[in-house]
Amino acid sequence: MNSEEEKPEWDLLHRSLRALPDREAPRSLGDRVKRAIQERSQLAWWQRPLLEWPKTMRLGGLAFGTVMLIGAVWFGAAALSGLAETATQWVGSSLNPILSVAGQVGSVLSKAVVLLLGKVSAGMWVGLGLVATLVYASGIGIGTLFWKVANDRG
Amino acid sequence: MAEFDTFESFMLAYQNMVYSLAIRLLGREADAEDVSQEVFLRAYNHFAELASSPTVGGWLKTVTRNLCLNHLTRYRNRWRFFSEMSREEDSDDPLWDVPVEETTGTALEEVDQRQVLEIALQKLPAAQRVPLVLYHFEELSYEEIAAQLRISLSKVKTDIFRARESLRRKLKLSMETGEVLGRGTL
Repeated sequence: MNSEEEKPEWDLLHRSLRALPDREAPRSLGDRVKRAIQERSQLAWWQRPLLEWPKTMRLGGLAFGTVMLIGAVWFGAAALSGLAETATQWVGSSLNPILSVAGQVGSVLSKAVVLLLGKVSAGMWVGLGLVATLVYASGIGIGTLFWKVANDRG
Repeated sequence: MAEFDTFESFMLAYQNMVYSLAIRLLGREADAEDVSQEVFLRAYNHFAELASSPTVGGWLKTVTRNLCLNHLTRYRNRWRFFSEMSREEDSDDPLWDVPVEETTGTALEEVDQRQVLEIALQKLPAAQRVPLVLYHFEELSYEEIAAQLRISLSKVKTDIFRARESLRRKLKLSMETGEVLGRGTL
C-alpha cells in the first residue's frame, strides 16, 4: 500500500486481494505453446523475425541493405539535382506574374495601414489590443479545458 | 525434444502466475490465454538466459504486464465502447443478486469469499480493473500507474477509488467487525 490517504477498510481489501490464490491456467495452454513452438521451428529462416535469423544471414542482410541504401541515396541525389535544375527554370518563368501581383497587393495594404494609423486614436488601439488579448486568452482557456476533459476521459 | 521437456516443467511452474496476472488485467479468458501463450513463446526464445536467472518471475510478470497493456491499448476504442456498455449492464446484472449460500465451515466460507472477490474483480470495467490490479497486485505507485497507462494522476486515483468502492459494496466488507462478511445476498 503506498498512499497516505488510505481508508482503514482499504487495508482489509488489499489483504483480501493479495490473499487470492493464483488462477489455474487452462490445460490447453501447454499444448498451444508447444504447437506454436513447433510451428515456428518449421518456418524457414527468412520467414522468421530478423532477430532470429542465422548470424551470417543477418550480417549478409545488413551489408546488402547498406549497399542498397547507399545506392538509393546516390542515385536519388543525382536525379534530384537534375530535377532541381528543371524546377528552377519552371519556377522562374511561371512565378514572375504572381510575384508582380503580390507586390501590388502588398503596396496597397501598406498604404491602407498607414492611413488607418493616422485616423484611429491611441485609445481605440489600446481597446482593440485588449479585446484581441481577451479573445486569445479565452481561446487558450477553452482549448486547455477541452484537452483536459479529453485526457481525463482517455 | 529434451530441451522442450525442461521448458515444459519451467512452464508448469510459472503458468498459473502468468495466467492469473493476464486474466486479472484483461478480464477475458480467451485474451488471457493468448497473452500467456505469447509470454511463454518469448520466454522460450530467451530460455537459455532465463532458465538459470533468479529474476525469472519478475521478467515473466513484466512481459505479461506489458503485453496486456499493449493488448488493451490496441483495442482501446473497442474496449472503451464495451466497457461503457457493460458498466450499464452491471447495475442490473442478475449475478450480483444471486444469494451466496450459507456455509458452516470457515474454510468453505473463505473459498466462497475468494471466488466472489475474483468474480467481482473480473466484472469491474477495464478502466477501473487495470489500475486496481496494478496497484494492489503489482504494487505500482499511483504515479507509476499514471505513467504506464498514460493517463492523469487524478484519473488513476478516481478509478482506483471507484473500483474499491465497487468491490467493497459487492463484498459488504465490514470495518466494525474487521471481518469479510459477504454472506447473504451480494
